Amino acid sequence: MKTLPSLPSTWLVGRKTRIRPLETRDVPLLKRFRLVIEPQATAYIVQTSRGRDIGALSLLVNGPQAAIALGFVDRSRFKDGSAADALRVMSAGAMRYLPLERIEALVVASRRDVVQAYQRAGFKREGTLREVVRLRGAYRDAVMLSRLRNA
Amino acid sequence: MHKVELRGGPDGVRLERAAKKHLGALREGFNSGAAAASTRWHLPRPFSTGVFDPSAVRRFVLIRNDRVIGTCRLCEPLFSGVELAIAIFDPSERGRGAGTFAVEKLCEIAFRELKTHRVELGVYTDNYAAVRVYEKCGFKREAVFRRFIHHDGKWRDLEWMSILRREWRAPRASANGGRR
Repeated sequence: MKTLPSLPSTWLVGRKTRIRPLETRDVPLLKRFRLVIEPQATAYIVQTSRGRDIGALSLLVNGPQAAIALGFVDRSRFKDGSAADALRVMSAGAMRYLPLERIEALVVASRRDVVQAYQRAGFKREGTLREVVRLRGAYRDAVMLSRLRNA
Repeated sequence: MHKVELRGGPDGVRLERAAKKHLGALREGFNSGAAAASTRWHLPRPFSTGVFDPSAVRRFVLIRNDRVIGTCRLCEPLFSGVELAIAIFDPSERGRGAGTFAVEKLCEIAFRELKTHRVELGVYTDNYAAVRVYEKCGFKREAVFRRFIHHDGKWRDLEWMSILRREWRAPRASANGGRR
C-alpha cells in the first residue's frame, strides 16, 4: 500500500540545534516563543544541542509550496547561527520528506538579523513587499525569501 | 460613496459590472485560449463557480462596441490590500489602450470606493506588454517569486507589483473623459 508523504515526525539534528515535533505539553512554550501559528500549520520546537528549548518553528504546507516561520525568545539566537542552523535543517528535512518545489518566508523588513539568518540558511531574497504586514497599527514592509528544490 | 465613472475609454471602451448576461461571452473568451498563456486562469473553470472567481470583491467586463473583449476584477489579496487581475481575450484588441484604461479605473475603484491602502498583482515575468501597462499606471516592481506557479507543464516565475495609496495619482475629472 502506498502511503502519502508526510511531515517528519522524527527529530531533525543540525550542527547547533535540534528540532523535535510538538507535544501537547509544549503548548505554553509556543506562547512564550511568540510565534503565530496558522491553524493548518505544523509546529516544531527548536532545542540547543544540549537539549534546552529555545524557540519554535512552523511549517505551513500548501501543495507543492510551503511557508516557514521561526520564533525565538532570545534575539541573539538570530545572530549566533542557531536560527540559520534550525532553518537549514528544517527546510532540508521538509524538502526531503515532502514533494515541495519551494519553501518561502515573509519577514518584517526592519528585522535585519532575521533576514540574514534566512539568507545564511540558503534562502534567497526575492524582493521587498511594501506595506503588507500590519504591526502595532501601521503597515510595515516585508521581505520575501525562498528556497527552491534544485538550487 | 464616490462613484467611479466606468465609461470613457479609448475608442469607445468601457467597463461594466459583470452580470449573468456576460457569462456566455466570458466563457467563450476564456475557452478561446487567447489569454491562457499570460493569465493564471489558464485552466477550464469548474462548473460550480463558472467563469466568476468566488473570491472577487468587484468583477467587471471590458466592452468595446457592445462586444465583450475582456474581463477584470479586484479580489482578496495574497498579502495586503486588494489584488487586481485582468485578461483581454482578443489578441487584436491588445496594445490599443483598453488594458491601461481598465487598470486605471480599477485603481480608482480600489482607492476611492474600497478605500484600500494598496493594490497588488502578479504577472508572468515574460509578459512585457502587461508589465509596461502596469508601470505606466504607477505600479512598482517588488519581487520576483521564483517557480511560483505551475503553468503548462513547467514552473514559472511571477513578478509581483504593487501601487500604494500615496503613490496613486487621482485622475482629474476632465473633458476628455478621464483620459490622460
